[in-house]
Amino acid sequence: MTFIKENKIPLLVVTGVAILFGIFLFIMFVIVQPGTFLSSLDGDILIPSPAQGKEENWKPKLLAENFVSLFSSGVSLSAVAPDIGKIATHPSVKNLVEPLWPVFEIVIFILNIVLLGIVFKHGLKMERRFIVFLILAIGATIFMVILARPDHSIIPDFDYRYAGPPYYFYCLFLAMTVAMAVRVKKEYATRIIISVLVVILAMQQIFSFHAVRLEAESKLRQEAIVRLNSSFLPELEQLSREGALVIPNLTGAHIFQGMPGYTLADYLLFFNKKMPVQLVQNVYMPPDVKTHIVETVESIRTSTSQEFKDALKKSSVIQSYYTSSVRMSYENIESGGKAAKTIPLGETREILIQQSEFDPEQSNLVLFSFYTDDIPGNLEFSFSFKNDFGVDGEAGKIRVDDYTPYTIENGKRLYHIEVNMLQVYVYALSNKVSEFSLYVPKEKNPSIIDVNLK
Amino acid sequence: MDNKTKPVSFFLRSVHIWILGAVLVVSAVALIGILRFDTARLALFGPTAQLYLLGIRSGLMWAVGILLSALLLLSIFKKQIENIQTNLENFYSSLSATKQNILVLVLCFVFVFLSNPGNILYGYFNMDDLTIVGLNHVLSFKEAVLTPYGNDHAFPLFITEMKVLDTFFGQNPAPYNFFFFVLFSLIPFFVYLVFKKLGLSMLSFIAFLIIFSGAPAWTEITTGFYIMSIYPQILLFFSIACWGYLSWRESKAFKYMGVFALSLLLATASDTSGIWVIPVIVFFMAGVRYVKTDTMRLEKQI
Repeated sequence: MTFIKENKIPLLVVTGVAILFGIFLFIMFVIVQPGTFLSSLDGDILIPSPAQGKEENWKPKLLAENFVSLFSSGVSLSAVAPDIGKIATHPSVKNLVEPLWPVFEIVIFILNIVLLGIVFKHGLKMERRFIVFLILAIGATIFMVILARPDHSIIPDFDYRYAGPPYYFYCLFLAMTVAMAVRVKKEYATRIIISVLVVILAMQQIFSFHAVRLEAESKLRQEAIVRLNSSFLPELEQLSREGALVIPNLTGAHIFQGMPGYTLADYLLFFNKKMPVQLVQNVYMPPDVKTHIVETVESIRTSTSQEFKDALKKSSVIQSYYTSSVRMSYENIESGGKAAKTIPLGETREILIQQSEFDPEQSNLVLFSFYTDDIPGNLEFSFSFKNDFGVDGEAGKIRVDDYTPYTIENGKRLYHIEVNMLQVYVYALSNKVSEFSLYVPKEKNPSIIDVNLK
Repeated sequence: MDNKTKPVSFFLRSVHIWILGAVLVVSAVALIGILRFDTARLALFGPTAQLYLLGIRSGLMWAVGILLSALLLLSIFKKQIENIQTNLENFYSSLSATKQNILVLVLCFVFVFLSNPGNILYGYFNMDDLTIVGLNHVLSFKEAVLTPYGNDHAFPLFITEMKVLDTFFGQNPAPYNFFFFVLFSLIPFFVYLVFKKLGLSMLSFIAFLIIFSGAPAWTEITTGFYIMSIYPQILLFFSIACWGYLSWRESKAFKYMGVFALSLLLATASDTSGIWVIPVIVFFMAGVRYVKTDTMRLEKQI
């Protein structure tokens, strides 16, 4: 009661903010966009809220596991070794690490309980009470995350969107521990604490490897986006001056490989370019889920303006975007008819799938099966063909990596791949295509057993 | 001192050297191992694996440098370090409260910047940032603010910040990087102000600064990707609310209650996930009720 009396005004403020926030949430997620609150997104797919599937996600055992995991991996471990999950989840080491990870998490959790016990033993009454606040804060912030965004992976990779608030309170707890250690063992504690802080500082440098990657990617991203704005968009502006233009929506991978989901439509809105350009795409290209300004058409060849097709033959800038080779999406298919023999590869390592001219809208589905050595690593297959735009060399590629599903046969990995070539602009825009070939890489010693164009 | 306590106190007197020495040896061995490893062997795993290896290699070099310097300083220049420590303590104590705050504010900016200079300087719009800037270009401000984002996010404050930055600076990333760097650096500063009010030592604050602000996982948020700043912004407004509350408790001045209320509003306007601030601020109020400023004050350690 004294607490309420003493804190009447701040409690009224908190209640007022809570009511306002409640009204705001009601407007946003009941009136404006109903039915999505507490759901999450996996790419473009909406995952139902845990509340809807709470038998699955909100079981006490799963919640407890998730709590320990988020605290140990996301909060406590991240003080010295963040992002270790990024290495531990790679398929080449995952199988080794997975059985040990839950034990590792439990050990970290127990060590923290021991630390808490020591702090409680030596803390003054008021310090203990403040520690209780910190424990409640850590508990509440973790609990909200595991309710809203449950993650039951064996090796989770929590970033600070989720682990940030409990990490903040954990750091306050450690700072409080420092204060108490100095009070209890003043003579030695300062030196020990300084050395531990130096060790933490050193560990932070070692585990900054992901920061190095982020910096490198950010530089590349800026370079790519600035180049788009200074070279491609002015050309497009020039072309659209003569009248309304219909062009294929350029997928993100052609602009910056690191953001394949962000297409030309997103960049036009980002740079606020208001030009009479209608963007089109076919069903094989990544869908436009954000801007809703791209029209999906049956044939981009028929819909695209002739002016743009002519420019694609002449302009080196437009060519550099629309004819650059990018990674295509592909499907893993169930084993089809298997040929017993391996298709021989010449010195060029190319397989000529079809030499004569054909209509790309009629034949565009490539199915192929191959064996590789059973070792980790990536390999890239690429496609080349003669087309209406005079583009030579590699026009599209697919990357098979350790995440690609495979089966093991006679000690070799067996893959079955299906890829649609209408993702490639020069393929989809050409009237005729010929000399359609598949390039097979050397890595992991692949042997093609079946390849078809349908 | 009896015979039993002699070995214990000897151990405690030199344990910091053992800690630093042991970690230095492990780091140096790891560095030698990684320097002998041929990066080309990772070519099969793609550029990310090679970047990670280079990152670990340069991190190990820094770590060995830091550990070696600390070890040498603490073992060879022990006396001089103690003198510097005393001088720093005296200098800090001689400053007025405002100057102490400015000094710590500068320390926060410098430490946060030096933790990841490249990430802060070269940050650039990333994924959702493009969508948010685009959203501000196609919708009126009122519509943009009242548009939920994705599945269950709503961040009127961030939409407003991006609108203002876009209006004044367009797509130049430098002002955005600076703005979000300042917000992130203010978190430890307000924690310092809270610590000061609670009577916690400067060493505790230094520990918080290193462990919290130095954590490499924040680079996911500080390398451009401005939308991610909503999460540290919630922490910043929570820290300001705590300071506002403690200041109000001390002085009962209305302006601090205004700061408290505004911070809570801004925390919840940062994102729907800011909802945690509401119960946790009540826990905080209950927690500090038992903390009397003077009884918890510890002797200054630095």
